[in-house]
Amino acid sequence: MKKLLFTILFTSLFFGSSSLAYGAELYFSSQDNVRVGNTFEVSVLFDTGGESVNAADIEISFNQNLLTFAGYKESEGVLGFWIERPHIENGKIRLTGVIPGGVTGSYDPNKNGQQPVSLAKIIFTAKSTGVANLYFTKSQILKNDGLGTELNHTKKSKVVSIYKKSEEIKEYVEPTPQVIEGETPVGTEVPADTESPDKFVLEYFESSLFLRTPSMLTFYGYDAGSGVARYEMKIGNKDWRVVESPYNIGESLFKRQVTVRAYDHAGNFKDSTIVVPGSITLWVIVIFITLTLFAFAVYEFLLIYHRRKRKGL
Amino acid sequence: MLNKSFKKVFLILISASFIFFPLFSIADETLTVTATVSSGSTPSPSGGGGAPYIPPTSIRFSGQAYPNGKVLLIKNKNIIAEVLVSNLGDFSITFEEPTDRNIMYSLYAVDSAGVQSIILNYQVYLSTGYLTHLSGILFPPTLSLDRYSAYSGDDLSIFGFAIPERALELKIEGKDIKTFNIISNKDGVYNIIVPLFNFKSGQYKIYTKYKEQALTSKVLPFELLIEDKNPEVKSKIPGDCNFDDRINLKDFSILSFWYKKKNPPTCLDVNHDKIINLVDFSIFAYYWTG
Repeated sequence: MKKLLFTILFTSLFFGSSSLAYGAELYFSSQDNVRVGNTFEVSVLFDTGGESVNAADIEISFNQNLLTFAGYKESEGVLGFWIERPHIENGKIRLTGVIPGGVTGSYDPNKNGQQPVSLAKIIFTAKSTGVANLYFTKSQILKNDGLGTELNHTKKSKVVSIYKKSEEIKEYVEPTPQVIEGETPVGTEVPADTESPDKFVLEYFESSLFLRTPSMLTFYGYDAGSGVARYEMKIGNKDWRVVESPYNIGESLFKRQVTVRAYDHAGNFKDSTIVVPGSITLWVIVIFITLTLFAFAVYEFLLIYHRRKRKGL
Repeated sequence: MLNKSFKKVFLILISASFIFFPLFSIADETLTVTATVSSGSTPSPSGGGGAPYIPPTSIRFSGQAYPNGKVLLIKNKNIIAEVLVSNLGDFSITFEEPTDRNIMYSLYAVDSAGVQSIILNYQVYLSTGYLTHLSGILFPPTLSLDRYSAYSGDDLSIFGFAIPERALELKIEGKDIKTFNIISNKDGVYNIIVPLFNFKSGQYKIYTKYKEQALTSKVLPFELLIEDKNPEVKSKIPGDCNFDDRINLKDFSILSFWYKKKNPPTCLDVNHDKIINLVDFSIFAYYWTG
């Protein structure tokens, strides 16, 4: 009886403690079959298991010979404050962001209780036939507990079959097109993004408040269609160059006009301009000229005075 | 024999309950989400063969905050709607949505003294032509202290706003843990004066919540000083290096600048590991005020 009791208690504690983390799972949601040339969306979903989470760092691997990363749907993920917006790094998609206040799940009037939260929605284009594998090579998700505690979770990969344009998709029965959980129905292509990113604000922070942090320009663009792909900056008449926010603008004697251009993944762009003040202001220039003139006048006066004195006048 | 079998069955049932159910109840919020066909707009008269009328797609949030305060709705980092809260603490905020997808909304409330609540986030699936209503939202109480450091023997005043005449639980956690049961008055105000003579010196955190709710207010730090030590000039929010009592996009930008850089400013490195990484951002996000 004691042995049985011990076994049961051990089992209870072992499975009981693991059941606390049960449900915390990171996975993909997308259509299973696409055709070459199709652009389709893949949701990165997270079942929090009831925990409030506020930060995620995720790396996704995919077959680059079959798929092309074509952007992300900025409006359909909770990671709005990007530390690193979705981008390709060493052949993998990397995304890092935070959710101020945290989130436990999403709400759907057609379903009971909280549903998994959509962390991000990635857009892919199928470029050749085959079976594409999507899987997480790294994932760090932190609890909204004021301590940054990591939430243990399981990960699930996803397989997407890519068919020729004319090829019949096997085991695929044409259903009545219907939108489920905001997903694009099977076989439907994501419409091309023809809209420019939204108007965005350029902000200049002087370094005086934070002595070790230099003067910076910050810019956070927003593009609902395919997400911001990159920023380019033009200072005065200099050439455009690729930059990231926040940007160390450095100090200059004179004021500068700075334009930042936000490009989305479809190549549309939006400009925003700011005039960054220089160290020399108009008043400093006026005072400098006045003092120079005054010094010159004194010098002339003394010169004339000494000449007259030498002549004995 | 029967007794033994009963014990076995009982133990197995207990074990099974551990296996299939979490040890703690984690979700106690009684949120309800419904979708109904939008009303209020009438279809414009059209000749035969016109496009079918689709009612507007909209989202409504309702629940309780703080009497005579306000509730603000945020989408894509912008405030899109603001409503006043009734003197009983009820609010309802509706927004017509041009899109019909999975959208992330954030809500926060401000009490009548201007103190901000925590941020509540809701990702909601919207359907075209439907009014999606998320009801039963309950903002945890706001929390303020009259000081952030004191000496043993001093009194600490803790106050804030909640729903009128509601039971609250206030916790002071540190070397000592004390719990106080209080009730808000008919205006939603609560106030408690805590004598500190029997507390040990050190760092404490203070928070409050409704008795029946797990979600807590903001967590505020407090330091009980040793008699000969002068209070340090410290922000009440970790990472608030400019002492403006806010954690917002400006602080986020500064933290982003130092991301993955070694030897960052001490006040930004909130977990003191000499590097700015995801953990620092998570702590920032927890204390975010906007």
